[in-house]
Amino acid sequence: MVMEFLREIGQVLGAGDALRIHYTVIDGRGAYFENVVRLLSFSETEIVLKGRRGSVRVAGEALSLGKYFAGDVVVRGTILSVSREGGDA
Amino acid sequence: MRSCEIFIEGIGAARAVEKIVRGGVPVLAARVQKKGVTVRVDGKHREKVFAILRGSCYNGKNVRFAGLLRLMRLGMARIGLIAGALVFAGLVLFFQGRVLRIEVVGSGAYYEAEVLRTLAGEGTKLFSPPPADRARITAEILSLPRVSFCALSHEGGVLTVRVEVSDEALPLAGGCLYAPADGVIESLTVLAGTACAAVGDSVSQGDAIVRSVTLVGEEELPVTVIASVTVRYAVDAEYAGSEQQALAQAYLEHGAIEELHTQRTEVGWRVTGSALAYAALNLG
Repeated sequence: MVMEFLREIGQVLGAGDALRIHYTVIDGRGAYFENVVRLLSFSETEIVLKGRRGSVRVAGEALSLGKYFAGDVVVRGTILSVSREGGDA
Repeated sequence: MRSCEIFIEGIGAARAVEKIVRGGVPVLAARVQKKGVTVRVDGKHREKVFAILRGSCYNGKNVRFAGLLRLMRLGMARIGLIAGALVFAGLVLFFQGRVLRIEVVGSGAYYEAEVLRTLAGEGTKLFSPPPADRARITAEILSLPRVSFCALSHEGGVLTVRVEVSDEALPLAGGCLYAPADGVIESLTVLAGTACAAVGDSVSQGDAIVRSVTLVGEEELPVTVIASVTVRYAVDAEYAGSEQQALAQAYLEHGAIEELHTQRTEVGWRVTGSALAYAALNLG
């Protein structure tokens, strides 16, 4: 019950957003992701990143990773779509 | 920029990359290959990555170093070739700034001996630096007879001296060069023609000193003589009047007289000594 109360306060204050994966896509170059907890899947056509709340699926061509450390991930290649899955997508 | 690439064989590219990151090694880049994944990390973390992978089902192979470190290793592997190339480049640069050949070109190319003598006087010869004071050399060459243009250029180790003579001079005279007086040849300059005498020879006035032919193989071909000769002859003349008047008259007739001696006579004064007579053909 306390946890429910705290979660409600967090939502009002916008704390929930802070735990989601944030990303910026640069057309034709790649994308930059923050708050990444884990790399779930990695191939040339699909990369799945898991955050604290949900995950993000990146679909594209000739995908590769740039720098990956401390929750920050750079995805290079041609990105066709980025979609949120699960959690507070 | 001292990074290295490691190829990790095995399934699960994502797991392999995740293991490395969880082990505290920042991944700089990762690329999926056919049978695994190539991961780029900082060179100082190479051993740590292999340690992380050692305990799992992954095989890590050091593919290659990247960036500056790779260049350094490639360079060390070919140090002999690089050293040889540097020595070669150094020698080329050094000798580019030296005189490797001297060429005298132009219509005045027959002045090659004089040009080389002038250059040598300024310290310019094979393997020496090119002349610093080109203006002085040019002026000296321009003072040669009939020379109307002179230019020096140094490129690719070749010092080129272009000498042009003027065609506006008097028409060339034909014939041989003859001795101007009875005496001994003091100096002889022959640019074209065949010399019949040498310095130190005794000649009589009218003797041919330089003939208007040149020997080509076994054949004599006609040429225009370009030559000059100086003959030292004895002076023995008597003049009326005072000694001063006699000396002045002797100077007017013979020029500067060496070993000068005067003697009083019934008529006036006798002047003896030696003087120089000069003759030239198409020269000066």
